[in-house]
Amino acid sequence: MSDFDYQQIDDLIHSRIRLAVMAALAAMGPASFSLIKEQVGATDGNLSVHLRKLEDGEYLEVIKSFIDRKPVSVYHLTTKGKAAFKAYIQYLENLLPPKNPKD
Amino acid sequence: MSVKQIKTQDAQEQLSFIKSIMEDSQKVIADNGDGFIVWGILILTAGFGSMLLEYLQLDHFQGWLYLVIVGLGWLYMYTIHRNQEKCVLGNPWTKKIIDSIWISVLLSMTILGFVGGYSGTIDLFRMTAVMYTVLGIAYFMQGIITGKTWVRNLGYGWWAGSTLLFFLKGWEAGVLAVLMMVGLQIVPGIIFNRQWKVQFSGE
Repeated sequence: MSDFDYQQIDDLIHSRIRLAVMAALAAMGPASFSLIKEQVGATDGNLSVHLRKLEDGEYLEVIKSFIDRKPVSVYHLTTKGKAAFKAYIQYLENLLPPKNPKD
Repeated sequence: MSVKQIKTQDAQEQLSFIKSIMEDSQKVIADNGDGFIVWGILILTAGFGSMLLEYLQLDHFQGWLYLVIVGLGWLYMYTIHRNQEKCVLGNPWTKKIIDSIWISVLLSMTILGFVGGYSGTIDLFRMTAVMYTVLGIAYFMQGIITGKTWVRNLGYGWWAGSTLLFFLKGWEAGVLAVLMMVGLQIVPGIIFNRQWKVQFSGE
């Protein structure tokens, strides 16, 4: 495969902010809203919308728990989300020209 | 430039973007800072207790005092701190590396303090300087791994202070040791705690 096939690309991940959220969560593991915001650099409102979309697509899950007796929301990638992210990277890598083994 | 080239370039850019986000995110650690504060207070308590014992001419109890205080510190590490691990957000591998650094530094300090002191290998008057030199390693490495310059600089602070402590004696050494423990350990712990609280303040 050498060209973008927009029918095959995962629209849910392809958006810049959602892609950044997926990448950040894949690297960080479970994270709070503020931590994701810090990594992604989006506004509260914008990030909330994108997080909701990823949540609706079952790519991420919110765990409500208590830390130091305070209610907190921690976001993490679901198995489906991890697989989708991996597939997205694989798709992009397939678009690149093959590496010369001598390089 | 052909359409294919543009699309290949687009894929390359997306991958670079993912890589940069992931590299930055791997460094992220949000620690509640309690460990820094607890150990800082315990060491200060041991220091003041030791001075009090000296004043009361009960010097021979100093070793026991340190044994109890350091024992309490380790007890804290394996009970409360271990249960608080969920309070630390961030990349699990980064967390593991930082935890390993702290455990190895604390263990080295315990051995240097008790075995080095008891065997007479390390001069008791220079013990604080030795301890603070070792402590600098943990701060320096945590700063490098998490990409936080101010934490890395704390390592330089410990090393600069411990260098001075090797030359100072009496109350000057005591004052400097206390100032370092407050300024380079307890205050950073409070900063970590505040930063950690901010992670959940937007909810």
